[in-house]
Amino acid sequence: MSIKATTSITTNPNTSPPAHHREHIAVQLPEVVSQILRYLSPYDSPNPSQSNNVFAIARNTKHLYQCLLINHLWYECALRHLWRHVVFEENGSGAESFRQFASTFANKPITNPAPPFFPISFSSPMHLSLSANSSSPSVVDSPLPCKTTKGPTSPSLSTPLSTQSTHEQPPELPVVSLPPSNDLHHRSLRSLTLRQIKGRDTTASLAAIAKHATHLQHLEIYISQSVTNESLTPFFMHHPNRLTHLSLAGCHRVSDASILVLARHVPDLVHLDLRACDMVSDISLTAIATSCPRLHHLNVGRIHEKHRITNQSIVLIAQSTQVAVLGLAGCDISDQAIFALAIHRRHALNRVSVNHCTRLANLGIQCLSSCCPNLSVLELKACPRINDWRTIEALVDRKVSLTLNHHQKHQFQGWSRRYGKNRVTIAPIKQ
Amino acid sequence: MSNVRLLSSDNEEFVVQKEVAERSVLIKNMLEDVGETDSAIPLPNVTAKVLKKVIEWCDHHSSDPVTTDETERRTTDIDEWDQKFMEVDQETLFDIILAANYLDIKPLLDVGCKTVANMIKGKTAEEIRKIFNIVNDFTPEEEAQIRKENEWAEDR
Repeated sequence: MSIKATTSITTNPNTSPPAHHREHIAVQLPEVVSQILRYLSPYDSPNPSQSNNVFAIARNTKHLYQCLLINHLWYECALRHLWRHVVFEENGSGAESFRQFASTFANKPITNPAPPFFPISFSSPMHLSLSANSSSPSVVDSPLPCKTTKGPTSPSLSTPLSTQSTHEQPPELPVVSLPPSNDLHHRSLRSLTLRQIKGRDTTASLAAIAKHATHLQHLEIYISQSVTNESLTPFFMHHPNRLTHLSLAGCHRVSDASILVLARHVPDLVHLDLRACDMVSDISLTAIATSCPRLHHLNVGRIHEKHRITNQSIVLIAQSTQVAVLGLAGCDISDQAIFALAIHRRHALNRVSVNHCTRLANLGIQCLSSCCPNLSVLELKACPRINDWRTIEALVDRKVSLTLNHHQKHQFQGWSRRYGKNRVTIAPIKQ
Repeated sequence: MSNVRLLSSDNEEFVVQKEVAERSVLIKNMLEDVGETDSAIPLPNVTAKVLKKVIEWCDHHSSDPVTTDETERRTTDIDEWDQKFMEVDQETLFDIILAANYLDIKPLLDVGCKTVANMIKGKTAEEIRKIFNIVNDFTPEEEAQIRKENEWAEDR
């Protein structure tokens, strides 16, 4: 209380301030404050292909953090924006920040070793953590007792933490009712991005978040050993499930087991990036094809385990989904898959990568060329059997961005010269 | 080009071109509802001083295309004319924001809110409170809890 009084004295030195020194009505209206804070917030549709967006998000959180501490009204507005799109990158403190975030979001301490999460049990890991890490201040965040709010504008603040209550809180007590701020966290989180986060607790953190991420629409985890089927599946089990965008590029431990759950519970999926998820195969992709009719973007490009993705799933994807962007680099597909894509997706097909699909010959690209007038990118690197340079020329004339390797370029240019032409291939912007 | 009469809360009348007034979705909808009318449209929430500014903005932007793309509206920087336009005292700035909100002129609301957001950037909570004369209503315990729960966002 004494701190509060001091603060208001420094803010308002006069006992009755003149009109222009009073708080303007505009900054007392949640709709206006929220509108202002929008411009300090991460974008509504974070675009993973633009890495500068990530920097914008990272730079922005510290402005919003300060806005949390202004007063109750600003706190609530800023919290909604701050917790809406959350990004963690490996930059030294990324893993630790993520652990802090996860432990607040899940309202329980996150510790290593990972607890058995599916189904999640709250009892033993919490007990472990309280005793093992009692010196670390960030682990004190045990379930907060929910108390009635202090005023009309402060529904989201629960009882302040005190060491006493933390120690008295029986560790094995399950979370019965969450404090209001926790509910706000859960409702606010729409997008979560982790880039190369390596912390030991990451698997446990993910599993803890997954259980409560009821409003998540966008999940992106880039290169992580920590992502397991068990930590991932709880994200898919919410009803209704709002997830539309899932990117797990380079998460080697993800396999068909979790992607089958995804297919079963997330029918509105639009974007699925499973690049270098080598364990994923036709088995789960077939399920995705039949269960996710709105799928628009699919990437299963890989270097290893080529044989796991074949015509079997890709033909079904072509027949049953809205796919327009397709990454098939290194998959064991033949012209049959490309033919199916061309005739089923026609005008809708936009970007295709078949780099290193060594079985492809000319029929596939001939179909793409004649059926898909809106194709803008075609990556054909290292497809040694493709040598129909006339079709390649037609695609170049149509301004399709082609990617060829050095050897292919050389061959194409040799062919062009023989016909007295001078062709240039344009490399697409890398996604 | 037909004109529209607008009446401020302090009973000052402004005659403006219809297309300028229709930058306000509120006025546009009202005009559609009443059709051709000779009587002035009362705007009981906007004083003459602020209405004059708002009309000045609408006049300058009367031929702007309407941008519905949220991301574009959010990320576009404030143009030079708007920056000059917003060089007003803080009370007028907030009055313009309130008027834009009430009159439903989204691009003007954007410019106003972006201007305020720029004033906030890089400031501490205490500095922001000082700028806008906001009273701190947190207990020290509440503040400590907020700091703790949002520690992950502090330095990023």
